[in-house]
Amino acid sequence: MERRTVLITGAAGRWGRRLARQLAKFPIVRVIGLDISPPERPIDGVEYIQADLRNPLLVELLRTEKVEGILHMVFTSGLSGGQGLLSPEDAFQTNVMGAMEVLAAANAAEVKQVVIKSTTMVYGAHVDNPLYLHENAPLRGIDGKPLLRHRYEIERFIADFRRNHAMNIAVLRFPGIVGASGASSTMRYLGQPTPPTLLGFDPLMQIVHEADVIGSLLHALVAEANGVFNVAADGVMPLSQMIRRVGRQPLPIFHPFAYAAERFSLVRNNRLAKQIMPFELDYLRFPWVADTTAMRGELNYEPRHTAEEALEAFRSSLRLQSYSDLLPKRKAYDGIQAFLNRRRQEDEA
Amino acid sequence: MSDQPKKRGRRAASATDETEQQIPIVDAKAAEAINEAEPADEHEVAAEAPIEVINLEGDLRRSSQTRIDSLLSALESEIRAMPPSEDEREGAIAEVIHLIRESLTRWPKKVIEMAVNTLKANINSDYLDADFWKGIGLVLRYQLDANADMVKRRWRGDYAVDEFGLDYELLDLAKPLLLFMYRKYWRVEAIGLENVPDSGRALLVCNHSGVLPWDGAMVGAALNFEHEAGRVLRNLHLSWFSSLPFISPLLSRLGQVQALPANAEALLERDELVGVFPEGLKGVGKLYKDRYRLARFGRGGFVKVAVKTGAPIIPVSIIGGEEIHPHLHNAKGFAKLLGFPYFPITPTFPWFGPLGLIPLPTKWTIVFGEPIDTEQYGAKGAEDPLLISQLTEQVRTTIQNTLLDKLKDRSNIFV
Repeated sequence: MERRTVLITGAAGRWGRRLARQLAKFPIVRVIGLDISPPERPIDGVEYIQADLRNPLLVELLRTEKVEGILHMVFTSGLSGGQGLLSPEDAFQTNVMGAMEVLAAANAAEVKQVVIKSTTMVYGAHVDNPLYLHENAPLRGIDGKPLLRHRYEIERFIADFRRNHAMNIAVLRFPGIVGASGASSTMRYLGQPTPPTLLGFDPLMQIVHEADVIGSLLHALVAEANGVFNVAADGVMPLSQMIRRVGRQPLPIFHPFAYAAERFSLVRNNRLAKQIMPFELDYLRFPWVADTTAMRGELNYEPRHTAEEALEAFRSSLRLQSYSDLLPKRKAYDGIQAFLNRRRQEDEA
Repeated sequence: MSDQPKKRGRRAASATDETEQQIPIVDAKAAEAINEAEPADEHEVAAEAPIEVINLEGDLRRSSQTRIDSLLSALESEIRAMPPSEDEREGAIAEVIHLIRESLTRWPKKVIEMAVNTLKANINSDYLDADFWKGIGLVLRYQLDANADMVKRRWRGDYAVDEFGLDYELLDLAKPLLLFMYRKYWRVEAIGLENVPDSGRALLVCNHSGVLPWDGAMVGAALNFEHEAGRVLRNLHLSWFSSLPFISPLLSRLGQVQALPANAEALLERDELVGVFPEGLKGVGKLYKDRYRLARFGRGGFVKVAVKTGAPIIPVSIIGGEEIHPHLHNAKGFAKLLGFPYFPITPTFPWFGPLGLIPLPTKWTIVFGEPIDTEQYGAKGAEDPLLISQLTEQVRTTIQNTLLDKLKDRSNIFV
């Protein structure tokens, strides 16, 4: 049986690491992880290559390794990562140019499937948004923060690229990601003691469980999906309800004040301000809920967790946040227990 | 001690669930189950499955309403049959019955029944009897518990909104006001409610007027209070409202949706009842001298959506709504300054400030016309401009003619 090769770009990153771990479980799949920085904890069965994405040898690599699918997970916020702080120009190079080059190389090397992660924020939050935005809705999130602009540029490039090339490209757009790990801008926002909201505004919001992010990306790879799909959990709810479900209380701010403060570059570029308010204010004011009929239909993916479950998972993890030092011990205990149980069963059998 | 009532409540709930499925329900078992259910547990059951209770309410409405009516009249006759001690009690009885009827509307149907049953059971008993006060205590405790529980749940975010943001719990809170405006203030008469289907999609097209969009609320109230299936109307509102603080979330939680073709289509596809006011701004900001003269019906976008989704169009004519705020002049400069779509000058506004926004107590009539079938044209019909303009004109003419018919018979706008 010939093994099939999948390349994960950004394999040391948050999503790349998890995808690699899931994919490595299948004996039929050979996983190559490409990242500019070495993985913190290498995963068994994954071959790591430490290299820059924008490398002329990428095509050569894809050809010689007979790569059939690429999970393109490189997207740097410019704030963190092995490289330390990236300048906006470097971030653009990595995010936008990197995606372009991966697509071009994949096409040249006749890769069958490319899967890219995007966000429903590219639709933009506007007063005249319909409540359920379909995939073909205009992308109006261009006034957003630079990172959103990168997503927008990538999406624009892919739409163009699609017209001239037959390669399968699946772009999955996710809303805010929530789960037990606590590592996403949405979770950092929701997890604050009192997440700021805009007084008198309470738009319907949508989220997705992190397990469904991984699940749908892998599903798109395996099912050889082609096109753009919104992937979100069932259950929209008002922002304030979401905050309350996490066990926090919203802190409403009179919106003209918030907008005025945002205009000052001192506030805008302040690290703390960015942490408190990782989104453009419009995203807390107007709806940007995506329609998921295509996810169920064409993509044929059924999310495993509802929005309530995702929030509950996050809430449980928040409750145990201050006991994080005890968790490994507990995990070890459970692991030994499971091992012993298994042994006992084997002995009996 | 604390375990026992819980068990009882659950058993009682399952018993009532069974009876809910088989309508007509009036049998001994159901009455027993209802009597048995403890008030404090009732809301617990409701809290566990708020959506189910609400969904059932529509189906149950008819049967439980008549049941409550019959219970109330039985109670009344029993009170009357009591040995007459004082003559002035005659009026007091009517007053009590009225009080029960009006003040209990916010409670779930099952609880009202229970309360009435408790009252009935205690009718001939001594007021010094401990059971009598226990009964009253239970009712009060239920009310307190229900309120405290609701505040707690909402603080935790433990409530449900539907796909378009409608919060049934808040809608229930708004009902007393709507009921007052509907029954007492405007004494709305709803004609032709049988033209609105008990289930499934339909597009209600109404004439718009009145400076403040009370007309949509009253059409919704008519369907919720008077229609046999107790349907919830999803009105489409001006996009401008979505940009306003407080108003935007409030409208959304009360089931109103921004007027966009995509939203209307999504709602109809989910088999909702959608109310549109194609006159839009030109209608709601209509001058008093133009009352009951229909403005242009937009660009017929609503017909397009109806044809596309195969939803029948029901023309709705509202008489009385166009006089609640006599709009004498539109201060356009002011409106522009404030970013309002119009700035009305009425005999009372802005002279009396917010008090000037109290509408006139006119007498309203709402006529639900015969549905116009759109299914025959198929989804492709939506692309036929001739068909769309013809249908638009047909709906508009129907509403205008009904308005004229009703105006002809009207002697005074207040009676």
